Amino acid sequence: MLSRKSKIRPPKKNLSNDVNFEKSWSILSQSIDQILNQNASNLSFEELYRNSYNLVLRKFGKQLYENVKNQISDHLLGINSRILLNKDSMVKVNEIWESHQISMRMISDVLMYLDRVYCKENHLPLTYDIGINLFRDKIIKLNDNKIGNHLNYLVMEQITLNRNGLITDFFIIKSILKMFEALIEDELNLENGENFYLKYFEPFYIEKTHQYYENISLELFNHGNGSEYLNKVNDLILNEENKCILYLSSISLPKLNDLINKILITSKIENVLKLSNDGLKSWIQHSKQDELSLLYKLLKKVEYFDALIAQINEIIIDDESLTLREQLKQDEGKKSKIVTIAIDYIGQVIKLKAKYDTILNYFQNDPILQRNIENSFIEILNSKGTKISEYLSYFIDEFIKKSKERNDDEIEEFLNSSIIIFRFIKDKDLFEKFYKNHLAKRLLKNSNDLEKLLISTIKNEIGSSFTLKLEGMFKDMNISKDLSAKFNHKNFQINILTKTFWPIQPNPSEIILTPVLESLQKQFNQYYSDLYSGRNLSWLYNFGTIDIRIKFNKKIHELNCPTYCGIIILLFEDIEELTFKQIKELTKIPNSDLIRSLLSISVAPRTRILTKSPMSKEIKDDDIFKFNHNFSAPMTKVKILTVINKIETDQERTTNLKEIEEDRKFEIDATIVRIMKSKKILSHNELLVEIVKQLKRFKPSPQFIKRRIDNLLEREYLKRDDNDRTTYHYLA
Amino acid sequence: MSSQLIKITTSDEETFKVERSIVERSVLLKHLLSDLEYDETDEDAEPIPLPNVRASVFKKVLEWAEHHKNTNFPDDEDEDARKSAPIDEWDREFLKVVDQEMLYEIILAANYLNIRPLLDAGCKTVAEMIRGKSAEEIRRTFNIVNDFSPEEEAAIKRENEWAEDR
Repeated sequence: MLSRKSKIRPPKKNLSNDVNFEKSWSILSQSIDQILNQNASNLSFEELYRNSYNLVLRKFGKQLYENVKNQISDHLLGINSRILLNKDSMVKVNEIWESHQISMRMISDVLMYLDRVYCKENHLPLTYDIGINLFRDKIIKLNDNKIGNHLNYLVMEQITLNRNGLITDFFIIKSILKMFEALIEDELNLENGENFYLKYFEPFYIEKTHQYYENISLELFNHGNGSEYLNKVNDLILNEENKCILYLSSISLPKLNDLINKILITSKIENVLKLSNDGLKSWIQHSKQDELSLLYKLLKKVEYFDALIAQINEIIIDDESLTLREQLKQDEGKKSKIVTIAIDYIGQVIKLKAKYDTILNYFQNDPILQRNIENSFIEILNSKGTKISEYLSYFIDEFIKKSKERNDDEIEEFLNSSIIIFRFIKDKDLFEKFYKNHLAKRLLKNSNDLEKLLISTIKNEIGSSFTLKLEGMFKDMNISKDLSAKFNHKNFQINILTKTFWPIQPNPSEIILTPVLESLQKQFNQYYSDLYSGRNLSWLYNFGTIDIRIKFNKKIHELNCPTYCGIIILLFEDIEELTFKQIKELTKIPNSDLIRSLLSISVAPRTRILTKSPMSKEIKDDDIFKFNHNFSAPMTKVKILTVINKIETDQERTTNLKEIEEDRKFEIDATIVRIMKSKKILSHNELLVEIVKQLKRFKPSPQFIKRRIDNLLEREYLKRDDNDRTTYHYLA
Repeated sequence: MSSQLIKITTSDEETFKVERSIVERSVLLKHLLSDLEYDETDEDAEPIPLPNVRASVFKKVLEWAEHHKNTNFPDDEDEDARKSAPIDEWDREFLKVVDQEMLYEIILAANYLNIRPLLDAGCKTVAEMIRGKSAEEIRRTFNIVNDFSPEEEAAIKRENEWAEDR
């Protein structure tokens, strides 16, 4: 049959063909027994390999595989019966495990060909894995997991002893746990399948650990000492973290850490913080760095800040009523001036803020906590209506007026403080109103570099739209300076104010000036209308001052006095005495201003340029005023101040509030129309959200916005949807 | 250390002295050496018997191993990649020049000694002998008796008609 061309012939059979299973197996079986009993030194590796090689080659693989399995199984059952359940079981089982692994490696090496051919082809576990699986079934898990449970118990006992401070042999624990991990439960998934460790040990371990720490933390909490709790818990966690890596599988580490953190920190911290004698409140009151830093460290670990935030908020509110309100009560009780109250109050707020800044520093300046603390401040400071805006304005006014005596550090501190409070103010438009009034008065007296510095700081904080009008005021001042210089009259200085920038309304009533003043006014009016045709000048006499040199009996004095006072004094150049009524007719100064001016030059103790009879604080039509030739003062220059009318300041305040309300109406109307113009159709709620988003200067109440919407509906800027009453349409 | 050689005796009682790195090309011998903690520096160490391999065949295996001393065979379990890889050029020449009986013995030895790259090369060489041959040629080549009835043979031919290269 062989073709001559053919070059392939079967090899000569130089291997013995007649393989006898029984004969070969008995050799193998004896040797496997010797290996399992750690007595392999006399065996020939090659012979055993060749025997198994030949058996597999002759299709005896299945028989060989089953026989090996049974033999190992019998061997392990024999060992199992000799294992005693006592304290030494860990060591004993570990020894058996170590030598079993060695034996199995040797067996699987000589049965390499069985693994390579028979197991692979039939997708069966390799010899070594069989050995491990049999160890699991015949040693550890035999009789309802008898040995396994005992080992779990022993391991746990050792770990608990160690937690209580005793020295433990982590080496043996680690070996046992490694063995548990090697015992695969899911034989189809050798790499990632569940193992004895995950299935039996870990749940047991977690449960016991839970109990242990639950008991400890309860006991600690019952001591009622917050600092102690924090420190002990920190120690416990550190200890556990250090120890567990010595024995525990890395799979369990995150679970263990979560568990401990949850028991020791998350679940207990709220009550710990509330502890009255040594809890959060006391740490904050005494600014305890150690406790607060540690607290933050622990909470950061679990990212759980809710309890802390809630309690801080409460404490801040308490703090506020303790310090701020107390301060207010004291001041109000003493009937202090509003300036004093304002400065005291702002001072207290700054102090309180500084205190919480320190505490925040202990909290690593955590942004979440920072935001919450600031919100608490905002809530507190705005809870008393408009006061905070007014106080801040007074605080600033007072500081700037006296800023010449301050050094750079104080100025820096002042700017910081002002901006901090400014940030906390919700109704910034209200503040603007107060601030503008103060600023106007200051600017008209004398300008100060600090003003611009403050404005630019505010601008950085909130943006240029807020400071636009304020900056306009500065511009007016600069232009006026140039203008005065150009007009070139040595005794005349004028400030031209743009009406919309300034919180000052023109005075409709004209008064009678003295001839000198009148001609000067005419000259300037002419000059100005030549310069800017079409502009209207309206004179605000009550903001100006006049310098007058008068020769008194004793000395020549230079009086610096408000315009009205100056005009009155000048009347006496020719006339010796006048009644109130006469003065009124000669000057046409409005009644209230006239009274005030007369009070400041005849009643005010240091500046009695005129004498009044009868001498009293009230002024009647027939009261007589005479020029006081005997006036004297220590200095040559005398400054005459107008008496402040308290009732009017209060009136000013209420007008302010009214004006604000009006301004807000306009601003909300404009915002609504702007939004609706671009969106056309919006539901009520969507519109509300948009409005609040766009309004930066103040936070209107929903009711207020609703009233404005109703108003716009009436004026037919908007209409309601025919079907859905809560939806609005924009009417072009 | 590398100068120390390992003694190996073949079925025909010939003893070879081989470098350990060459010997370890055989997974069998590699495991054997490590399990026995074989010490090649020991002059009196017993030679390792290889009763399944003849000296002439072992020589060829050593020749192959010597050549591939520095070759890095991919240790992948990816059967398909290994199967589809072409035969190494040197291996092809090496196996071409030996006679067929020797080729078979080399394959058997490679299987026994567990030298996968050599076993693969040998099997692929045999596979190439089959490639492109008709059933009748293959029967002749491998000395196989046709035990199909003519009807059976016709039926199989019909079934596999699509694969015929015409």
